[in-house]
Amino acid sequence: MSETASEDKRGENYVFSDMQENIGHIRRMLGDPADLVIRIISIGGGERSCALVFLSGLSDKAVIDEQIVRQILKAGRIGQEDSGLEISEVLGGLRNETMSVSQVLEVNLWSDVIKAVLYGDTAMFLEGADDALLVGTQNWKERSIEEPPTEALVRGPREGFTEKIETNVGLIRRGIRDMNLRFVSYTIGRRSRKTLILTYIQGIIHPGIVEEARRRLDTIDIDDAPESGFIEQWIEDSFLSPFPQLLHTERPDKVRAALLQGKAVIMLEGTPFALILPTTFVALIQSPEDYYERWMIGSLIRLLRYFAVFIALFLPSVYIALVSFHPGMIPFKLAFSIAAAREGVPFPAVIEALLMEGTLELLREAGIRLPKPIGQTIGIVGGLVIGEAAVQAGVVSPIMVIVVAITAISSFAIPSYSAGISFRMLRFATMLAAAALGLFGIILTFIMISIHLVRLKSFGMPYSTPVAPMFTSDWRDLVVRSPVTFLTRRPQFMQTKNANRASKRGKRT
Amino acid sequence: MKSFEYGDREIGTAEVFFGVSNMVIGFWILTLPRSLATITNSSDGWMSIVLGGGASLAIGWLIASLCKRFPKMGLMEMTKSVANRATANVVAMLFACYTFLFVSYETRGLANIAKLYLFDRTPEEAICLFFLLVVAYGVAGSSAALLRLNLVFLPIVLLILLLVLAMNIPFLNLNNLKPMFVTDWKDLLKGTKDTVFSFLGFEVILFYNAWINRPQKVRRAVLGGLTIPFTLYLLVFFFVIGIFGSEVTKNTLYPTAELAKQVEIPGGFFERFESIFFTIWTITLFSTTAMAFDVTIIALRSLFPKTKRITWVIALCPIAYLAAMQPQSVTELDILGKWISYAAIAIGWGIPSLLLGAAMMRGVRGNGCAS
Amino acid sequence: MGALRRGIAALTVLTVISGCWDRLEIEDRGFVVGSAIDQGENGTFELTFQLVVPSAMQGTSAGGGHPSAMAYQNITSSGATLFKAARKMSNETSRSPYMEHNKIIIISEALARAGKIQEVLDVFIRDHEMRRAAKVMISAGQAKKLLNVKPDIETLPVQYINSTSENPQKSESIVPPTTMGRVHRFLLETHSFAIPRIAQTDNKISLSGAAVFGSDNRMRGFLNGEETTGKNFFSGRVKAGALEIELDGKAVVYEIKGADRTIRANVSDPRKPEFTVNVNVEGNVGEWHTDADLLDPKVVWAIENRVREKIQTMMYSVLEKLQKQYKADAIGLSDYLNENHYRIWQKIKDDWDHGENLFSKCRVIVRVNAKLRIFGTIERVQRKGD
Repeated sequence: MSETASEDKRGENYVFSDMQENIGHIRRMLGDPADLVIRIISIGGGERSCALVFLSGLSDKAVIDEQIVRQILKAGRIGQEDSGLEISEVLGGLRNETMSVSQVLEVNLWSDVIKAVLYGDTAMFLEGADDALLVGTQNWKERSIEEPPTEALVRGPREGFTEKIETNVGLIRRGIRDMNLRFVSYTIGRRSRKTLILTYIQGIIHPGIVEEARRRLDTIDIDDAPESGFIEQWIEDSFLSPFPQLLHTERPDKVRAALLQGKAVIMLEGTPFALILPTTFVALIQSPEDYYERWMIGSLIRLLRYFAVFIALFLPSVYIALVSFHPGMIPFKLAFSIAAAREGVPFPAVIEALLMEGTLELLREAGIRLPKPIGQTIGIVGGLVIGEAAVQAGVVSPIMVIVVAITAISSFAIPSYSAGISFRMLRFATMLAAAALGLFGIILTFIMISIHLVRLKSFGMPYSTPVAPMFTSDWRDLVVRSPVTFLTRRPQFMQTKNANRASKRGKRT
Repeated sequence: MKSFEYGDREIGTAEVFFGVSNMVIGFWILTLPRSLATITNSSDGWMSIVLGGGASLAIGWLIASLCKRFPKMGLMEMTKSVANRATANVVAMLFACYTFLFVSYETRGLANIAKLYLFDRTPEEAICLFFLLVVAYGVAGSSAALLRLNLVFLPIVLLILLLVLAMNIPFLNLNNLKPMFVTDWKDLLKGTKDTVFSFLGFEVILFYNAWINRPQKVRRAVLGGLTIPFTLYLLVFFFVIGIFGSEVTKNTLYPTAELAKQVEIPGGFFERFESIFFTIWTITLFSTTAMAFDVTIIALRSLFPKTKRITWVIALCPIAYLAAMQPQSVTELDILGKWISYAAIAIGWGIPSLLLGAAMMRGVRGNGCAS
Repeated sequence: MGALRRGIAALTVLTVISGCWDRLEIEDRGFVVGSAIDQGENGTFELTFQLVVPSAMQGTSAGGGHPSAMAYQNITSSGATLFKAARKMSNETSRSPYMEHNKIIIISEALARAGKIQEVLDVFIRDHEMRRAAKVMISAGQAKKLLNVKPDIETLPVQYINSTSENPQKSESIVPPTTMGRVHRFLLETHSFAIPRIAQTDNKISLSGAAVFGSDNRMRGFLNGEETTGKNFFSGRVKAGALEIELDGKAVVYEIKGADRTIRANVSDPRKPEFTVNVNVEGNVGEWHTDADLLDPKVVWAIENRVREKIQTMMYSVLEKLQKQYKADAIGLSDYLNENHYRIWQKIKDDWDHGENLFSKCRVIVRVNAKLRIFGTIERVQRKGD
């Protein structure tokens, strides 16, 4: 076959039958990189030879050595020219009998070959054959499965997603052995060509969500999506909202629970963060541990978190409003001690609060940047030292330090990290409103946040579900987490195809 | 109920229920005990409340029947199918004017109270401005979202109100309620008028009817929604009289607020509960105002369908602001409130009753999908 | 939408920068914890505020600060109206008075006798900064002196007075604290009332006793401790207390644990109603100086009889004083008539304790029923027969 003939009408290139030509071609295509390994071996020591092409950093040398090279060398008869076999039969023999590798594909398009080699597979060109074999030898040095540091739990599985998508898929499969579990894969990134997988359980999820998710995923067209955050921002409903409209998590158990609730999950190669959609406000405040602990503990902890949200949003602004506008609301002995503490402070309460909150945010940011062992020390020592020194110097009052500290602690008690950031952001808005109009300003901000929450949607679902619109039957898993025997139905607001998830106690069939 | 298709084009039964309650609970709950105590003797005002509430429930039933008769139709379409286009335009215009004035009135009322209890030097102009801006932000979205907001707000408001009442139980002196049944029936009827005023507002449901997804349940939702303010008014009245006695109630501008004022929170965590009470109060007034504004815009858009919602919001806000600034004193504001109430009875109650009557005589029905 | 958002943001920033009309930092306010009103010269009012000095407050409790400094400061100012007088104070002190923490209002006897209590209280009730829970008291003598009492335990004189007034739980001779809200009601309704009296002896205050006001809101006079006890029994407001009685010439203390009262009225003659006041008292033995056998029913009866007599005497004596001397129904009989015999009350209300003064002519029968429930953890500390 001549070179011109290898190009069809669509401009696709086909594999040549000449092995040397193939080697030359792939070298040209990839620019002859240093990590390109080309090994020519004769099959079974006979006259026929083949070429193995792979990238050394991406492929598993052990597999190539043991399962491919060694097996081919031992292949025996099919390597002889006089074996009387057609060239395609030789290829078939290599594929079916010789190589002890599970994943072997026969292709004839150059684009497939290049893609596979770039993914870490090994391409095998047989002299004289116009097909190439792609052998699955991908081996990316992978982090082991460990507990996700951002979402640690006291009680719960100690596993987390890794950067390798196959592992992540496996982790989900391992927990849901259901044949209806679906993985739809996409290739994202014009140049990065990463795999993105949309997961859901057919028969539970409402088809509308899948349809909408696929529609949105189809619109993605970028060079590279280095992290699932890119996907999140591309497909979210409102980019003006401070709230995350897709929940990200590193925990397979959280993902599995979401799938079983009738939600869909997006996973991207190269990041351990999976995206759960649709998301509601309530989901930001829930943690898997609510369900692992007994229901009373779970409910109380959840209640505590709602409280934390309130504090994280409003405590500094309430302080400002009370101190600057309505000191009458402070019990009188406390009022006097606050007044005494503030006696020497040169700034109004707003400036004081902004100063301290700003410092705290700085410390937090610096704590992340610093090397781990120092980071923690700086975080604690910095907080203590600066707080103490600021009080000593009379720049801020001790009460302010307490307020700031409680606020900071509360904002870290929110399970979703990105939601925590949202609340911190809104906190500054409420502080400014409180500085302008006191309690009235705070309540106006509260109204505005509520309007926004009620209006916001995540994949067509109102963010404030199940409160508004109201789904009373889902309230048993809202603030109070009812005993598991009561949670017999999937969330009603997800409109699942199959509503039952457990049978009532004593009614087991 | 569905959540995805739910979107912005459908209003559920719960929203109607909460929306009606929140629309009715507004300014008047603060002043109702005073006006009743002034007109009736001792604690007899409760009979006026029962009478007024009964009347409102009857009208509520009537309006809900109209809604049920014309499922998936707004007031404009209803009028069109009963009478003609011209009448429909007039009705829409009347409603737009009345609700729009209502917006200004509520805004100013809020500013007055806020100034009295929360601020000292902050000018009313600024309070009104910020409040109206938030209202504008709320109205800029969809009507369905605005109604949905009630599901979040009403429980908060009820919780705080009941908390105030509960904390007042130790001060309650049942002897203050005595003597009973000592008021002339004429005075009772006069008191009924004031009660009726305080129940106004729920007729806006006529406009939202176009999106109500279960017309067969509308009647129950409206009546249920009305019972909440009804019970609340009764409770508040009994508490106010039981605590302050008739004489003090007569002479206090906002007796309900005074209830909050005398509460001392156990443990001394907070003092001056009325500040909290007023911030919560802002929430109800916001809901009432925003819904009224929303109805203004719906009515206007049914007249001029090409103008965008946001255009109306931007155009009407300054006018509402200027109108709110017109009354010069509490007395003038009271007079404005009276006139708006009369207009509301004529427009909000009269027109639907006529419509229902006409529809029944002519046998006109909506052709919606409801059975 | 975008434009609207931007507009809101811009306005917010503008207000934060320029506005904040009501912002006044907590340390710049002068916290008024108590006020006293005296009669000045030429019918003017003399207003005294007790302002807290927070740094000194802090000093005494935390050890630092200025422990030697006074924790409070009294400022006096006078004017024809109280509002003006209060405003004048702003000229004289660096921190303008802030009333929301005002706990106590003391009105001098002279003002109360002149019938000016309503004028005095108007501004306090009208102003939104005031709370209805502030306690009103009538001073025997000058009011502002009371704000200068040097308390031993508390830091502020007002705290001392305030905490003492909360003591009716233990003492029967203090009228329960009368809040401004209640006084507002008394003033609006046409009947007589009583307000706690506060008096000063050396560096101590005494809260026993009450000031009686007639229906014209003029103060008629004071009741002493015993009479106040009687009045409290009439109004059914005795929660606890101790009565000293004698048994065989030795002292016995009867500790009141609870009391209630019911009123009956015979209004067959509207111009001359007859009242029967039933008082039920329960209590135990607080102290026992005799050697009588407490397990003997006769002894118990004897004690109960003594208690009954004692209470009856006290009640009759206060009744006598109110009916004959003060001619003011401060024991709530008019309330009873209004609540239960509305139509008759409408006829006679103008002649009750003013006008014809039917109150001073009506007959009141007091019936007391005392019960001795328990007598402490021991029977006696003396040997029997000693």
